[in-house]
Amino acid sequence: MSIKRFHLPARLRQIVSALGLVVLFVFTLEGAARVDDWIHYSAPLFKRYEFDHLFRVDGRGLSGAPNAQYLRWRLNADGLRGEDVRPNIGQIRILTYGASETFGIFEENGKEYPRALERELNRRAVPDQFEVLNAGLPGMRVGSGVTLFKELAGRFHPSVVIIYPTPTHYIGVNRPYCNRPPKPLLVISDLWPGIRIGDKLREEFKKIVPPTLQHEIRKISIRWQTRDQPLLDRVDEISLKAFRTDLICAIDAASALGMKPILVTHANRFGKNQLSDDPLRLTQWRQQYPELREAGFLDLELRANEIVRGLAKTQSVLLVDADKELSGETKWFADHAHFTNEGATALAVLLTPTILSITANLPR
Amino acid sequence: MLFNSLEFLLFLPCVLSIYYLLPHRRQNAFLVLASCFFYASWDWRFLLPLLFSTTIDYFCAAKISALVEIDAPIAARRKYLYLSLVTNLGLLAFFKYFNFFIDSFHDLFLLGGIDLPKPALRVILPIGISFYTFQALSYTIDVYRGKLHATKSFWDFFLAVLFFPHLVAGPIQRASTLIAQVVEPRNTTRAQVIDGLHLIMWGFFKKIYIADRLAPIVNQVFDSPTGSGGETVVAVIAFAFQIYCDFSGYTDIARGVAKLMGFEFMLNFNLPYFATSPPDFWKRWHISLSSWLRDYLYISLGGNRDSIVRTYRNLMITMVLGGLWHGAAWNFVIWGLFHGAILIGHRFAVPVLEPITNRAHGFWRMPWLLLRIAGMFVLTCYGWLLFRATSLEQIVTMTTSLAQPLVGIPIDALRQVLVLIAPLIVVQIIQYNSERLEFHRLKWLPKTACAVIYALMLYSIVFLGGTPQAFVYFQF
Repeated sequence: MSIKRFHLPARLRQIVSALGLVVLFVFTLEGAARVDDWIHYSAPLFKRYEFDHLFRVDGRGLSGAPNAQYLRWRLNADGLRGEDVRPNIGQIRILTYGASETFGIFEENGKEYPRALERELNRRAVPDQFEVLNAGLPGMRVGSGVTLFKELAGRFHPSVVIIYPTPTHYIGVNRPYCNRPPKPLLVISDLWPGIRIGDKLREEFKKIVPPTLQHEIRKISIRWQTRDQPLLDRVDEISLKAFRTDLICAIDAASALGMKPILVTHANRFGKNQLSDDPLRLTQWRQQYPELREAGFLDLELRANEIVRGLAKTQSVLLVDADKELSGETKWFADHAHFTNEGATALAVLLTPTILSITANLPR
Repeated sequence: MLFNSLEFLLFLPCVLSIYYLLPHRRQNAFLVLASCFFYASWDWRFLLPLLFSTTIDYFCAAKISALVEIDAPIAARRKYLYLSLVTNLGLLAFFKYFNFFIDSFHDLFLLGGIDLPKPALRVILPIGISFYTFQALSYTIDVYRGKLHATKSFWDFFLAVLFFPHLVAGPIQRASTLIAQVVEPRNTTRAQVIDGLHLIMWGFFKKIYIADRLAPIVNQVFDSPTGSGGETVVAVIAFAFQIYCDFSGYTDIARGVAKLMGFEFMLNFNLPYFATSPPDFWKRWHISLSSWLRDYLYISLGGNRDSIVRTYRNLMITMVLGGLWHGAAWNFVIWGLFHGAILIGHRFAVPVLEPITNRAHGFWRMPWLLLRIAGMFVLTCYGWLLFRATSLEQIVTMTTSLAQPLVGIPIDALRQVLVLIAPLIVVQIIQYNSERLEFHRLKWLPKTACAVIYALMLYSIVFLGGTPQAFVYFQF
């Protein structure tokens, strides 16, 4: 008995073979991306490798993973950005508390504002008199980080805490986050190895595509995301109340732990006079919170900063008005609110006199 | 609009998609428009000298052709040839050498203690003028020599000169081959598309991954030479590969783009660093220029038809003018002199070298071949030092550093250079051994391996390339 062998039709064979080559091509690109990351950043070859690898989630919520590294961002043994914390030999420790602006996104390594602040303080005082700890955690709301900064205060005994809150994190929020541990913005399973070539292509795309075209693409994306959603012209009062309550919570926690809090208003690149690329940057900002119209962001900044100023008065807390001094200087911002190297230094210079004025009488 | 720019990456698909939809005559008209747009993207005023010289050339060639047909005396034809020569070379001299001669005269008088005022006029060099001038000249000279009939359509001739893939940095196409392709209907074959895409990818790889990443290593040393022999050697080797990958990368992209439209451009580089002698090098390096110089200058001067002294003189004149063609600077003249000298030197050495080559069989064949390749590479590299130097003092400083014992080799830079050129060397050894440059057509290379190689090349181009640099030969 003869067995008839099954043959694919020639045309279908060609298609299957071409598809196979395309798959091999894409797999090779992905493999090259992984080897490239492995060579340059010691990234794992077969696991997912993303920004959130810098952080871990445990019973206390989200915090920096000790000695984690992602591309150029490195955390120290305590999960804080920067060099390892020095043994306590009497230096004055300053804790910088905030979100991505404090953590540092666009600045080169060592140029983020807490590092710049440490250099500036030590330049103006005795060398190594000050040590600045970067307790910034991207995406963190000012209330939810209180648990973390209480823990850091217990371990490192900082004398001063600089609170740099990010108002936009309260868009859509209707109750305070005080003492609720921070949560990761997105939880992705480690079992999924991710597609690195896609991320890399997106980054290259951003570099080569003209900003105006990117702007149009963003607008389409926002329209798509909000197609079934009511849009907000301004942030609800309840959200700002939560922001205010969380700030009070952070101030109280700092005072209870014996730290002197300094409140800082939130600075952004938009000045009083509108610049030609302001609409582009506002849409870029809106991409993170598509439900709020562009004008709502500027309104939120104004109202939130008024709350910060008001609290500084009513709670008798020192205030550094970064909004007044830095906002509108485009060279200091890499996007809507994150600092460039120069911007981080400008904020550090702005903070230094206030810190020096309150630390002069502190015991070393 | 550089080939390695986003503008070109948008321009090319737009041009191709319209081009494929049009019938032949409209394709030509569309390509004239597209080429004008391409050239005007630098400066629309650059179109004016180009239009002027092509009009004169078209007119002269038509007149010469008419005179050939009625068997008119050669003197009558010569008049129009001279008009074309004077127009083209006059424009070239004005745009390219005006500043050079003014500065040189000024310096000469300064040596005699006379400080003449320099004229305020500083001439801007239209991009690609050296290339399109030589290309247009080949047309009138070929018509004059009776090798080619003048084309009836001005637009066909204009397109042949203006065609954007070769306009700014060659290859310098012969009018005889390119005009025929413009006039005849073209059918882009599947093989041409595959070869074209391969050439474009390989060209971008050479330019973006190798040349642009070698550039900082080269610039660092040539911008501030320290006088260390080791540093000079590494910088010169790096420059040898930078200029090769830059220029041959450009040529590959140009040839690839032309293929996508059904045009065939001549080969411009044929593994030049595998040359075993100076004449062999010039048969492999910038072939479109070296063959142009041979056919229209060296042979016109008498070539090797007269005495040996006249042959040497002709060689030297050809090489010096070839050097000067590259740019209005003394180092290019010296580079031309150097190549003229080694070509003449090689003629002296042939009676010694040839018997050794004939006897080097079996085991000795390969070492002798490698020795000749290495020897020629060393000479070529010294030539590149002369070419890249920015002043005569720099030539002296760097040459002196080479004469001293080699110390201070920057190991990191050397390692970087070797890593960057390794893929090129592997591919070229395969090309040399298989005697075919289209390595993607090698029978023993399976399609799966090709898919992997192209993916790696694409990754290197997109993610591992150096800071984008203008093509080196654009300045010529």
